[in-house]
Amino acid sequence: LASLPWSGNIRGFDNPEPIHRLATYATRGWLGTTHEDQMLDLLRRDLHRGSTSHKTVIENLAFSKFLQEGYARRNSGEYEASRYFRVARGLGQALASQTRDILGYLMNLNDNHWVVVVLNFRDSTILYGDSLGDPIPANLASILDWWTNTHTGLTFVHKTLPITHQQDSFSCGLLSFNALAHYILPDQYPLINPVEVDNERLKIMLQVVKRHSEQ
Amino acid sequence: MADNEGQSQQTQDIKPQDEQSQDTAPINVKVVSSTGDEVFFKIKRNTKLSKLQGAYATKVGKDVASIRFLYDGARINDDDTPQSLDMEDNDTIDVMVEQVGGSAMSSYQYSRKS
Repeated sequence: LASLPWSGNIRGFDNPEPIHRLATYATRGWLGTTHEDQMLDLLRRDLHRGSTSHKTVIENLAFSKFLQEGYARRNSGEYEASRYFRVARGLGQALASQTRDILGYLMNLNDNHWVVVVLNFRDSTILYGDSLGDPIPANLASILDWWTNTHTGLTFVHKTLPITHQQDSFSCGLLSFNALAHYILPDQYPLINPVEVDNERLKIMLQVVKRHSEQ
Repeated sequence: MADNEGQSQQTQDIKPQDEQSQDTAPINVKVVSSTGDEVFFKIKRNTKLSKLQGAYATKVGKDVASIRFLYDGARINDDDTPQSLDMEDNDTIDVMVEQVGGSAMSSYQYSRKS
């Protein structure tokens, strides 16, 4: 940590973010888009090092918007025709054809809560994880039902994604990421003990710093 | 994004630093905020999109560093141009602001299934 400059951007990640934003990991502040993106980048790296990476897709934080927009315009034919939806369409086709089989992503609810979604096209399941234990919001369930059905013609079964239950007011960002990572790489990412969240945040910060330093 | 609330119909021209060549023909680009507000720009294909980002930030009165510009869901980098991203006329750039989360203390905008 002592080798880090006070200014400049963090290297080695998809998004060039200011170094000072790393400080949030060492606090009990709410994690933001910056941190969730960094954690997802770390997971993608671990996934690519393993043997099961080729069929699993970790989408970024913008992905939920494409599904939400596609659902809103589902009766207009725009999802099938518009260039705007080509990434979501291509991914849906890849999943339906089993070129890919698992899609996972994080999303933010109402600007105050991170949750996790996993779509498993191998066994046609929609898994939703909320560290507060709440069920999937009805409109999100409708969006995911529409998207999976559009590409497969099947009705997916809804299940709860295993996730550590949050015992504080700041850990949903960490626990949602951890639940996604645990589903994909369970040996490497055990579910976090809720009393260890402070240490786990620091561990992630050190991983980010290490990757930055290696660039 | 689905609605047109706050839509700006006035198209702004962004001039490139270096012009000329058949690849510099301008295209229309729509920038859409997370709340669905739309701003339209006309930009040459070899102009850096950082110029458009700066113009958009000025237009909406925000610090450009606080805004994320995404094309096809991926962050636009400072050196990207419409040409380098293979953009076409009438394509959309999404705007995302930094979101945070810790716990859901307020009532959900999302309705509960049960």
